Amino acid sequence: MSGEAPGPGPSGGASAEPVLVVEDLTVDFATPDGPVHAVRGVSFTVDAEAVVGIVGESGSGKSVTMMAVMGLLPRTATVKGSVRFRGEEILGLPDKQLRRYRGRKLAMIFQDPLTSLNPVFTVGAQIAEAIRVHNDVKRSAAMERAVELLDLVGIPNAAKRARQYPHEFSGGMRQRAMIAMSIANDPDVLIADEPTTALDVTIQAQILDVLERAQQAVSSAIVLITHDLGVVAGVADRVMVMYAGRAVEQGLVDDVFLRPRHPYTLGLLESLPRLDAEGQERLTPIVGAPPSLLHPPTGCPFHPRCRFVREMCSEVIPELRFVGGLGQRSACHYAEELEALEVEPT
Amino acid sequence: MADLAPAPVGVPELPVGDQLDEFGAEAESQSRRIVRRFVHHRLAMASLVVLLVLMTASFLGETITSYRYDELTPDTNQPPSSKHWFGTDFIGHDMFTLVLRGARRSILVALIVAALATSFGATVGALAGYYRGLLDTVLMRVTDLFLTIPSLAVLLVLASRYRGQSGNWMAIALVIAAFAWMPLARVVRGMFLSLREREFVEAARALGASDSRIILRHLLPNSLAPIIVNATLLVAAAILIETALSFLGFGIAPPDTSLGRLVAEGSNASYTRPWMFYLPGLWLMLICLCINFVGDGLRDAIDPRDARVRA
Amino acid sequence: MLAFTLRRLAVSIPVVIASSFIVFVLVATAGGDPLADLRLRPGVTEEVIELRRQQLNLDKPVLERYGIWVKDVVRGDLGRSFTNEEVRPLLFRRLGVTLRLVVFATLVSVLLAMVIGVVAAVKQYSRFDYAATFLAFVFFSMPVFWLAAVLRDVGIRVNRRLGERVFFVAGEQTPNLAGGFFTVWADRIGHLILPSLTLVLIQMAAWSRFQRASMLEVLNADYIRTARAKGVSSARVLFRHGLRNALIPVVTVVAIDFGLVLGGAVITETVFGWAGMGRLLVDALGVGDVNVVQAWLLVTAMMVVVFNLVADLLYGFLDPRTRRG
Repeated sequence: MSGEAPGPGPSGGASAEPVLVVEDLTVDFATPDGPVHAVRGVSFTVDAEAVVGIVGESGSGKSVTMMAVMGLLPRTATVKGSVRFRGEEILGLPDKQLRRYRGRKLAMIFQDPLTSLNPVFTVGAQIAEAIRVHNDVKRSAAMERAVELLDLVGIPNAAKRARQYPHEFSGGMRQRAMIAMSIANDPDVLIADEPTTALDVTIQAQILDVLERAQQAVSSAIVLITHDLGVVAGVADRVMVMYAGRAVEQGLVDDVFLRPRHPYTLGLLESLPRLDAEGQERLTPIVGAPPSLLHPPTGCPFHPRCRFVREMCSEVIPELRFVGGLGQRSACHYAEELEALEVEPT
Repeated sequence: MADLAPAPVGVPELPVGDQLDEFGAEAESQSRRIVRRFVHHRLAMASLVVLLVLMTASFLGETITSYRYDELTPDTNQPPSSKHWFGTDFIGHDMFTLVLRGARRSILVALIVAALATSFGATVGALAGYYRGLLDTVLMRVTDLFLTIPSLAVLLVLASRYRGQSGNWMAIALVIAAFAWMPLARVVRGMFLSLREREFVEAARALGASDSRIILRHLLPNSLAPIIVNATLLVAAAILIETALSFLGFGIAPPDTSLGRLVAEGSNASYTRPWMFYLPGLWLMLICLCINFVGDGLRDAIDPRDARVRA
Repeated sequence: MLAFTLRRLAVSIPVVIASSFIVFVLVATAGGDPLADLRLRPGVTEEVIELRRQQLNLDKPVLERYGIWVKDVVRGDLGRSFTNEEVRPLLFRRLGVTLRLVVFATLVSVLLAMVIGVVAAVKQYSRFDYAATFLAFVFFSMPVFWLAAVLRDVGIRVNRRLGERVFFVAGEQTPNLAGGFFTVWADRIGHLILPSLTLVLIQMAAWSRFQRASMLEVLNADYIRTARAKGVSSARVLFRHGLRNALIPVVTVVAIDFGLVLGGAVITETVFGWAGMGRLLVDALGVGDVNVVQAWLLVTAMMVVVFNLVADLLYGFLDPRTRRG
C-alpha cells in the first residue's frame, strides 16, 4: 500500500527522491511440504542517507525481504512485486545486470562475520576484490584502498591486518572488516542483516558506531535488520515492524515506539525490561508462538496471539494504512481504537 | 465505543488436541522424521526392497531351487536354461544354488564384520573422545598404526594362517574386522569431542551423572546417526574385501563357498563359460549396490542438506 | 612447517617399526614350509636341508630373527629371498612396475573426479548429477578384480572379434621388444590401458562423490553469499571462491587413499598378469618368505607414511586455518 502520508518528509534530503522503493514484494519458497510464504506484500521506501530499521522475530521475513532486493535468493524462491533503485526497476533483472548494483550501489553485510568471509583469502584481498570487481584498478592500488578502509573502520595496524586471514581477527574486528568491504564502492544503500547478533553485547555498541561512521563517510542510507528494538531505537530514523511476512507497522521511530498502533508492536515494547520501571514488575511476554509460514492463519496473522482480537480479525486481512502522525501506518483493523485507548507501553 | 477490552477469557488459548510446536506444525519425534524422509527417498526404498528380495532368496536357498549345493546333475557346463537358471559348472552343480549358498556365507561374514568393527570402533572412539588426554593419545596412536599399515598386505598375511582350512569363515571375518574399525573410531571420537562441550553434558554432570551414564545415555544416542550409516556401508565394503581375499586365494575355504570364491573360480572361465563368472559377480554387485544405496539414503534421511531458508 | 614435518615423522617412525615387528612375527609363525620345494626335489639329503635351514635362520627363535633383520635393514640390506635373489633390487624393480599403474591411474582418476564432482554439485539434481551418482555407486559396489576380469574378458573378445590385438590383456609390456625409448613406452602405455581403466573407474567413482559433497557444502557457505553480494560474477564465485575451498579436502583424501589405490593395483596386476608387487607378495606369502614380505611391507608402509605427511602438508598449505601462527 503506498498512499502518500501528509506532513513533512522523513529526515535526510527533504525533497530528494527516495533511493529505494519496494512495492508489494512477495517471496514464496518451493519446499517438499508445499510453498512457504516468507514475504507477503511488503512495501516501504528508503530515502537518501536515511536509516531505516526492519524489526521482527525469526521467521518474520525481514532478512528474506532484503535478500530479495539484492537478488540473492536461491532458485527455489519466487519473487514478485517491484523494487526500484533510484527509479530503475531492478527486481527480476538478469544476474549479469544486477551484479552491477551489488557491491556498488547496494551493499549488504551479514550476521556472522566468521563464516561470511572466505577463510582462504586474506582480509585485504577480499576487500580489494570488492573494489576491483567494480573498478578497473591495479591490484596494488586496490590493496592500498583496502588498507585505508580498514583504517576508516577503526582497525589498528591496518596495513599488517590486511595481510592476515579472517580467523586471525576477533569477532568485532571481522565485522568491522565486513563493513569496510561494503562501503568500498560508496554504495547508496547499505543493508546490514543482524550485524550485531553474533557479537558480544559490549562489541555491539562499537559496531553500531562504526556503522554510523561508515554511513557518514559515504553518505549512504542504511537498512538495519534486527530483532533488537534497542538497536533500532538508538540508530534508526524510521522503522518497519514485520510479522509473519507482512509489514504490520511503519513510521518514524519516535512515533512507533512512543505511540504504537499495532498490538504486536505494543506487545514487543511491553516485553522489554525497563530501567525506569517502578518496583518489581513482571515482564509481559507475548503469548503463543510465531505462525507457520506454510499455512498462515486466515485474516490478520497476529490474531491468534492478539489480546484485542475480534471477529473480523480472523476473517479479513488488515491493510497497512495511514493512522496518523508523520506517515505512521499500521495493519490493524482497530488501530484507531488503540489510539483512543491511549494505550502506551507501561 | 471502546469495546476493545481484553477478552474475558484472558489469555488466548492454543487449539486443544493438536500438539503444536512453535511453527504450528505437529511436532514429530526425530526418529519418526528420519523414517519418513527415508521412506520418501525412492531410490533407497527401491534398493531396500530389492535387497530384501535378494537376501530372502539367498537364505531360502535350496528350498526354492530344488537342488542341493553338492548335488551333481548330469548336465555339466550348461548355460542358463529353464532347468538351471544360472547354468551349471564343470561337474554339474546347479549354479543358482551355489550362488545362493555363496551369498549366504558372504552376507553372514559381512554382517559379523560390520557388527564387530562397529562396536570396537565406536568404543575406541567414544573413550578417546570423552576422556581425552593420555587415553586419547594412546588410542589414536594405535588407530594410526592400523591405518598406516597397508591393510591389504597385512590382511593377506593374517589370512594366510587360515588359508585353505575348512570352516575358516569366522577367522576371515575376524581378520577383516581387525582392519575395518578405524574410520568409525575417528568419526565417533570427533563427535564425542564436540558433543562433550555442549551444555547438556555439563547439565548432566551437574546433576551428578556418572561418566558411563553420560556416555551411554547422552553422547552415544546423539552419535548414533553416523554409526548406523557407517555400519551399513561397512557391510558392503566387507563383502568386497572378502571377495578380494578369495580371489587371491586367501579367503573362505571349501567346503564352504562365498560369492567371492565363486567369482574367483569362474574368472578363468570367463571367456568359455561366461555364466559362471558374470552371474555370481552380478549377484554380488547387486547386493553391494543396494546396501550402498540404502546407506546413502539413511545418511540423507538423517542429515538432509537442503538449502536452509533463513527469514 | 619444518618443525611440523619433523614432528610428524618422529611419530610415524615408531608406528612403522611396530608394524614391521608385528608382521614379522605373523609371517614367520604363519606356517607354510619354506623348505617344501627343497624337500620335494629328488636326491636332496637331510644335511642339505638342514644347511639350508641354518642359512635362512629358520633354526633361530623368532625374536632373534627379527633382531637380525633389523640390523640388516639399518645397513640397507634387505636380505635375500628364499630363491636366493637379492630382495632390494627385486623389490624395487617390481615396485617400478606397479607404480607406473598407480601413478597413471591416480592422476587420471583425480582429474576426472574433480570435474565430475564439481559439475554434479553445480548442477545438483540434474540428469547429469543423477547419472553420475548412479554410475559412481555401481562402480564402487564392484569388486576390483571382478571389474578387472570383466575388462580383460571384453578385451579378449574384442581382440578375437576384430582379429587383431587392439587391447593388451597380459603382462605389463611385450617381452623382448626391439626399439627405442618411444617404442618401449608406447608399448607400456598400451598395456596400461585396461588395468588403469579398472582402477580409474572405481577410484573416480569414490572421489567424485567426495568432491561433490565438498563442493555442495562450499556452495551453501556464507562466504559465497558474501561474494555474490559484492557483485562478483558467478563464474568467478564458482572458481575462485568455491573451488578453491572445495578442492582442499579432496586433495588430502587422495593422498590418504594411496594405500587403497595400491591395494587395488595389486589385485588388478594379478588379473592382468603383471610382474609387479602383487605377484611378489602373493608368491612370498605362499611360502612364508619372510625377507620378501617384510621388505614389501616396510617399503609400502613408508610410502603410506610419506603420503600421509604430504597430505597434511598440502592441507596446511591450502587451508590457512590449519597453519600454526
